[in-house]
Amino acid sequence: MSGRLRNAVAVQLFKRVPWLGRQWARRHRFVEATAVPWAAARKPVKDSVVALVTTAGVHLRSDAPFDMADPDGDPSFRIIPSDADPRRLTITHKYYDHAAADRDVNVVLPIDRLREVRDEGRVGGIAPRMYSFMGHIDGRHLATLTGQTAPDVAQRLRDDGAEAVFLTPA
Amino acid sequence: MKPPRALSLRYPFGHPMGEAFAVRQQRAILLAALDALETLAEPGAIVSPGWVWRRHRFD
Repeated sequence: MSGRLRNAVAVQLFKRVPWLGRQWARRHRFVEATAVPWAAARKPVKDSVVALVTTAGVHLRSDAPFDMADPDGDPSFRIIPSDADPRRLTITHKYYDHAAADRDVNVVLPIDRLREVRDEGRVGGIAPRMYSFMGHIDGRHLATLTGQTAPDVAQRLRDDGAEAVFLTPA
Repeated sequence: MKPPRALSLRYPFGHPMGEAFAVRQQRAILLAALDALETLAEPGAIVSPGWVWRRHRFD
């Protein structure tokens, strides 16, 4: 069985039988961080600029989709303006069931909720851009993620004035 | 993975903010995470509210 076919079969099994996915996750050797990255909150959330980052594969419909053909995934990211209409967004990610998120993107990227709490004064502001990865990244792409694209996004978040980041995984 | 701080929910994979159009639920998750940003001072600390999927009422 070719790598791509094996990957396609595994994806469908894991999506339809969540127990199999959990069993796989228990045995899979994930990359393990050696230390906890830490930055203390310097001021109250109500005075802080908050950014959203997701690994749910969200992107503008007008952007190139993430690569679903490569069994090792896609370590690139997409930039989404924080004032984007959620109806302009779509999801390219075949490694989880995103039927609910397709109907309401706030299931994976809570932009409407963040706007509401900002309008209530519970957060100081929203960073101008959101950043989105596709959460299935393996093999040779791990080095690209940890050495290039993730640090790139971290720098972009700093440049955007983000003081806190809320990351939603998928 | 060792996140700096996290809110952990035993929700189905792909639903980090809960159910579609469940505004109160999504809002509670976001506010709990933002609260954790202010209250968790220990690197790697994880908050687990214990909310049960589709059973907990978010009033």
